[in-house]
Amino acid sequence: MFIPCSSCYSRTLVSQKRLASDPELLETINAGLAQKVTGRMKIRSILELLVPRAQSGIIGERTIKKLEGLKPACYYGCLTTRFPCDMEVPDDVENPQGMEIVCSALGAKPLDWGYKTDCCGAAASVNDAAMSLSLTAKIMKDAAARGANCFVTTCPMCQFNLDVYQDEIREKFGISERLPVYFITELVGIAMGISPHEMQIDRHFTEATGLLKELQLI
Amino acid sequence: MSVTTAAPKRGSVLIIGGGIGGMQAALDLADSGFKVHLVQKDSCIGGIMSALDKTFPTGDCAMCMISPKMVDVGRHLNIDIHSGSEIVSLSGEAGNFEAAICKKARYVDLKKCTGCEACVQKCPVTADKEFDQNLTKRTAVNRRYAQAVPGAVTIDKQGVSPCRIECPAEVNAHAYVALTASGRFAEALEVVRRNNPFPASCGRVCTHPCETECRRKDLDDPVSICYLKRFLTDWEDRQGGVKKPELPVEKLEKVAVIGSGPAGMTCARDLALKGYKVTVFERESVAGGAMALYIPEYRLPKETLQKEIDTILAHDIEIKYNSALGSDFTVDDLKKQGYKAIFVAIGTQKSIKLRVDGEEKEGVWDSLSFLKKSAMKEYPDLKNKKVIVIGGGNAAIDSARVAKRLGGDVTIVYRRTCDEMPCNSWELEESEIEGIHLHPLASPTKILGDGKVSGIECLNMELGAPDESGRACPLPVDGSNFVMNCDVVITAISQEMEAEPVKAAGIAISPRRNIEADETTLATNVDGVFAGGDVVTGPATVVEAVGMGARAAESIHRYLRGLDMHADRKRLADREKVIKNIEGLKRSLRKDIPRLPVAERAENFKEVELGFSEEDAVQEASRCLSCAGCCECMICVAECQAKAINHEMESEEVLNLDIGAVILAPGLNPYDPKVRGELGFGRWPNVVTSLQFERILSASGPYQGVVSRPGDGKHPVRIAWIQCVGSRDPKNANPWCSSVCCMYATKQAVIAKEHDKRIEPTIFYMDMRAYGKDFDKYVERAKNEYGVRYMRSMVSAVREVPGTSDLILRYALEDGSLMEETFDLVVLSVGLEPHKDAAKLAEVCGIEMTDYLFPRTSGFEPVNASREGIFVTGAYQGPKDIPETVMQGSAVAGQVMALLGEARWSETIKKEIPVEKDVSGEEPRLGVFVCSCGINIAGTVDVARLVEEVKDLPGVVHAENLLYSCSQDSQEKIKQLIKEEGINRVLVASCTPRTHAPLFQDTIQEAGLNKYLFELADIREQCSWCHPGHKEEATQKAVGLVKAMIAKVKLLQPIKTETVGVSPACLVVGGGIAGMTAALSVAYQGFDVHIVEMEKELGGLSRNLHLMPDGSDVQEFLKKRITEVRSNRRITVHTGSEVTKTEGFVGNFKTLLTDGSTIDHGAIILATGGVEYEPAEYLYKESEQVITQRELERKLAAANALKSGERFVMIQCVGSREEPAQYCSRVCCQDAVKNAIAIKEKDPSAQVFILYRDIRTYGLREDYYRKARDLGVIFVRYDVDRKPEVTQSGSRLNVITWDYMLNKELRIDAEWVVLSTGLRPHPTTDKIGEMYKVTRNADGYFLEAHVKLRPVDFPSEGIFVAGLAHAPKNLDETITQALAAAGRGGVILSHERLAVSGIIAKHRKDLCMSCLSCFRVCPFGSPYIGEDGKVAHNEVKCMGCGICAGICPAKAFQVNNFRDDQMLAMIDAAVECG
Repeated sequence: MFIPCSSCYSRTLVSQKRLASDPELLETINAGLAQKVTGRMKIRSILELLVPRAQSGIIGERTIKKLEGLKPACYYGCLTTRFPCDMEVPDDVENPQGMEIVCSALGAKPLDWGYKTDCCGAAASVNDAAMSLSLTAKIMKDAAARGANCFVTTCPMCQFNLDVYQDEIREKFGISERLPVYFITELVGIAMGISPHEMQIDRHFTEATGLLKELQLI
Repeated sequence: MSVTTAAPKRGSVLIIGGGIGGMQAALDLADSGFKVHLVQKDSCIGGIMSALDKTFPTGDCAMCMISPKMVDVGRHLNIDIHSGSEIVSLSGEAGNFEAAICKKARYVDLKKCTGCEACVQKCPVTADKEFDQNLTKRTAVNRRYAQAVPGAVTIDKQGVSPCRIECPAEVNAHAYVALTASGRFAEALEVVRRNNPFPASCGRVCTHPCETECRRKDLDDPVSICYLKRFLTDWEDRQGGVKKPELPVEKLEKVAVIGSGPAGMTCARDLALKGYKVTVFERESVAGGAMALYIPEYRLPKETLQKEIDTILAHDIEIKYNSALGSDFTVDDLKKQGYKAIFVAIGTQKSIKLRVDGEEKEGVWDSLSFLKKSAMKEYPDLKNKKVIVIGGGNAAIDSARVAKRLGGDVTIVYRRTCDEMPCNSWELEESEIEGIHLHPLASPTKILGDGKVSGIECLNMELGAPDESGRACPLPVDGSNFVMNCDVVITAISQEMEAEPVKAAGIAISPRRNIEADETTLATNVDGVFAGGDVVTGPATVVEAVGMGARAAESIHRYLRGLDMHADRKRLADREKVIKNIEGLKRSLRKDIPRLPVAERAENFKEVELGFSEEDAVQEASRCLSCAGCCECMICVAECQAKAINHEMESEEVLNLDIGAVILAPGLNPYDPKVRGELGFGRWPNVVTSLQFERILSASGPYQGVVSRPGDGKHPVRIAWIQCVGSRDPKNANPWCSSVCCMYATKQAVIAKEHDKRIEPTIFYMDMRAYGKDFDKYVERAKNEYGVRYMRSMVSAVREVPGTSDLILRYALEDGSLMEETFDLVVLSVGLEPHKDAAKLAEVCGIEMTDYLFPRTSGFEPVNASREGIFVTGAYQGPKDIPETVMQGSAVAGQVMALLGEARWSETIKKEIPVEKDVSGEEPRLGVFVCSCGINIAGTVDVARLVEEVKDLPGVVHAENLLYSCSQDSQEKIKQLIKEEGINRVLVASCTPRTHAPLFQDTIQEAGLNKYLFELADIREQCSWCHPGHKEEATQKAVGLVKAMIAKVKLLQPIKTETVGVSPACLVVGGGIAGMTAALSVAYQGFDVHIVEMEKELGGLSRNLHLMPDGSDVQEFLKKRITEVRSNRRITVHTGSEVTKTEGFVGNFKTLLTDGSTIDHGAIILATGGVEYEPAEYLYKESEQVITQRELERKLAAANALKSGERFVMIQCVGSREEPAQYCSRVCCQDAVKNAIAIKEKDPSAQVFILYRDIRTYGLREDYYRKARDLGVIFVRYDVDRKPEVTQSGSRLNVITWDYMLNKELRIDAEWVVLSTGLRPHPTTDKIGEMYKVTRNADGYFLEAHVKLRPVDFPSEGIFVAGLAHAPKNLDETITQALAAAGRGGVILSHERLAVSGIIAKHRKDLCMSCLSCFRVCPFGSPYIGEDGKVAHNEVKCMGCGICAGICPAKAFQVNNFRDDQMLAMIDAAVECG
């Protein structure tokens, strides 16, 4: 199973681990299921798919358009490298590098910054919007101050949260920059020549095609 | 410990580790009659302490303290330092071990190297400087730090870099890249030319296997090695070209070289350099072979090649053009003409045919002919013609790109895919850029056309299984024939040699149609004929041909000189290739070489690749990772005037040692904080480790002691320390407390503040563990006097502020509120962990380890490893600070003395000193030796002038300048001159007397002079080093210094040194655990011991102790120890008795006891113990339910002592850490934890609360704290300003305390309140102190001679301290200190006589007025009132400090060698010099 959302990915991994270590639980659950679970299904995040291909050079080779001029702040969010139980993390917990590897292979120049694994408050965006906005604002401010010209994410929830509320945050916290928020596969697509329209990059809440045009990437 | 063995015990000891602990043990043992082998893995001794800045509490410089010790160890006659060594095996048993030591080569002769560092100045390779914690760089040949012992440099050589190994010509890429990086282009080019006379050509056309293997490729991109070579030649051209070579004058035999390609020309040059007369025969009218004929100009301009050919021919090489082997001459002809050897390097000149129909048609070219035509500028007209090139090698690409330039529309047809093409990938890329088409997977079957080519017929191919070349085999697809139209076909399949003339010469040809030559020597079957290059290998690269040319030259030289053809022809590939660890290295992209724009390439042959600028070249070269450390450029060899460097040393040798005991002191490793990613170490440049901060503070550190940030050099103001990084964290790091961090952080904060008043230090901590002697006072001073802010909070994240590189720390206050605060610099107080070799060491030595990889020891035998005869010390035994490490150093020495006592002096050597010459009555005849110290002195001071200025001064009979006055040959010279010239006073003007005076004193002693007839004038540290660039002034100052010293030397007199006998017995005052342990150790060493105990029983305070924290039984141990003491025939116990008085001095004390006995003894150990504080607070004595920990312990020791479900409240720090006892009693925290665990283990339903101020379960004791928490013991912090209150309410006690976590008052209803009472000095301490003239600290404990390095000594010699008399401590620490005192005592008692120093005060009774001034000020009590009632002087006690001489109004005291007349003479002479 291939799971883009960090939270879904994390929860599924934990369930898997519990099922693997607790045969009784597995039995109880299977008792109520027509299609039995084994707890042995392979579960992969989007980075586990992309990173090895970037490292082997495949992605670089297939790149038609080098993403020169793109300076993304790679935003992993709080769950991509942190699991609620003891299990191996495929990347550096505090300073993950997966997205940086993929972006570099595409020709972009990702930059180091301080908030890549901080919580954006997506989970609280409904019940405590103010708190969520203040968390996202910190992330925005640091990325902008470091000179990023966009965000890249691997989690749809993070992507959504950074994208949708950006105008509100900018207004409330006095941030002048506006940073398009790309999902990592969108950048892979651009580099491989897929049209932004096809990937609906033109339908982001925070305008996302202008930068690409400005950098002559589309 | 007493062990009897079958064989006699050995009198030598092996010590692993030369840190402060190992050094202390080595000195104690060597000073008391044992031979010591000190094995040190690094190039020098000194350990971690040598890297520290200052030490607390005194603020002494660590280096200043440790350096004299290192010098003592280094110069000790009976200590052998084995640096760069490791133990690899250990067999045998206590008393008789055999150890094997593996010694890594230093590549520097320790005896010859003077440490002048001339080599260091010139070494081009840099690496992170470990000593500066990677904050700065060092060179490959280096000395760890200026004061290192041994002082010789060492070469960091780890093998061979991959780039060098891969070069077929063995060109030293690593070296020339390193030299280029440091801007030394001429030297770099010199390195290239050693192996390759074609740097400009190879810098353009080489296939550079060096880059393919460059380790940097695994990090980002390989270093652009090839183009750097080209850059060097470009640079040389700009400088005016190559200098004329220096050739041997005498000429050797004639040699013929056939073929002027890279192989032939390399061979010719190498032979010419050796002095042979070389003639080159070339078939064509130009030289250069394939380089000239086939490589197109846009890759290699003809002019460039010709310049290189000319440079080679300038080596007096004759060349005959248009002379072809076979048609113009034969091999036999050459022999007849007197050529003694012949090198055949004619290359492969014949294109291989395609072997398809139509190959003869007009318009079909073979690539060689095509390229050759173009090279001769006879360009075929290809304008608007369709050209098909068949093949995928470099010849094919070259042909295609040439054809393109001639206007053709070019397509390359190749059988396999692009991936399999044998050409260089970058050539293929460029051809695509230039617009050349590719048609892969097609094979021509027929060339079509009617006389003239009109097209080719091809078959489509597909890839099959790999063939013998390892590439996929192309298979034809049946029926896929197709036609490609074209006007010109160029076939570029392959080439071969023209075989006829070779065959005619009788030279054997291989089945592959190449010349058959010996793989190593390149000799053919014909005597005197050698062959190399393509003619042997088939078509290959320029650099391969160059390599073979060089090998042929070596072979021909050996052949003509009659040398062994095969011996010692080691190739680089036989040596170890180094794979550099690239983890954590920063990426930096390769500098692209500028290229001609595509538009400018059409229809011309302008060079496509343009060179690097100087700046680019240096930047690109700096990307080199220096995989192998040393690059073997050999520049150090040339620089070393002492001839000490030897790169040929075997990389390892094994040394077998027979020893009696082993001491393991490998020390510690600081925790790697990268593991704690949230703290940002390695990510944010202004986050440093505490050890890095030590270097930042150090005057010899990277910023010369100016507190600066590594990121940008700014001076930080707000500095945060984060404690417990890597400690007290069982989940993410190490579970133990590292013992030292609280105090070193406090010290660093204080010192930083002293360096820069603006600094605002903040320390984030969990518990402030200031548990040691006077530690709390230091912390209080830091708080109150230095304004250090202590924040009881752990930091959860460190983030960098964009733009400023400041750091934001996130932490929570005790009440839970979240804070963010900005700092300029963050210091991570990293913890200690066992040395990284700890596990391996334990395995080799066969000792048990704990799960934490510390060696297993017990509280009762804290320095004994599990295997008998092996002892452990220092931070290897458990985390600890410097004084405790030193203490353990002496303790293990004591243990070894006890084990091997009978073998003392059996393996030591004594210096034989010749009979001293009587110089009395002789006029002073001075020998003055002025040292150049390489360039250290001579670079600044005009040493020749200095010699001139002093050589004719009255009294000077000889003055001379020496390159290195400390070298072995200089010593011989000085000795010889003393004899020949009748010199009777010697002055050396050189470095510091601290390190070098003893060496020269030994030398003049060997020449028969009294060693006090020597002086040293420091013209390095005090002159050349502090005035660089001021030659005139420095020379004048040096003249002044030397003249002043000459004035003094003339007045030197021989000094006779006295010795006194030693009474081989020891007095131990106090019969507690400390006294008994020390007494037993001394007794086992073979000396008599008297224990004086005022009480009726032995045992002291330990009689009230029942359990150790690990559960072992103290009472049982005590009983055993008392029995052991009572039954030892060497120990006399005087219980119920006290010392009445002690007279005498070290080695000769006489003590009268209250029981009337008189004891003669040589040493004294004061182990007078302490007492427990008797509390007056918290209802103690008022309520029976309020008890002390001791009383609780007694209660717990009794059976069924506990009722079920009782509630205990323990209150810590009762009578400690507040006036009048402003110190931590050290033992109470683990006492409380130990008893709490005992309660919970006996009755899990019992409830235990511990009210504490800081929990100080330091070191491995942290485990018990955690265990207590796991068992449910509740810890509640209280503040000294808000102490708990205890009230009685009926049968229960009420305890009220404030809980800072809950922020509210806590009321606990309990059955028992247990008071953790502190310790106090024993009431007799003052009296004893007075008696022995030893001082006490403010709290009343004995004050040791030096809190860091002399923790069991007193300033008065022969008296030592152990146990609670010194300070509060735990039982294991008391035992350690007792063993240490025994060890120190053993050093004195082991001598039959003790020498008294010559530098002492001399007292003249005739001048003395007995005013008692001296008597009052002498710290050692050496002036005394004699039987005549007048002042007398005990010279044995005198330490030569000179205070008496200063204060004596009658000048009755004069210190030897510092007499008033001598000082005044110096001043006069100095004043005269201006």
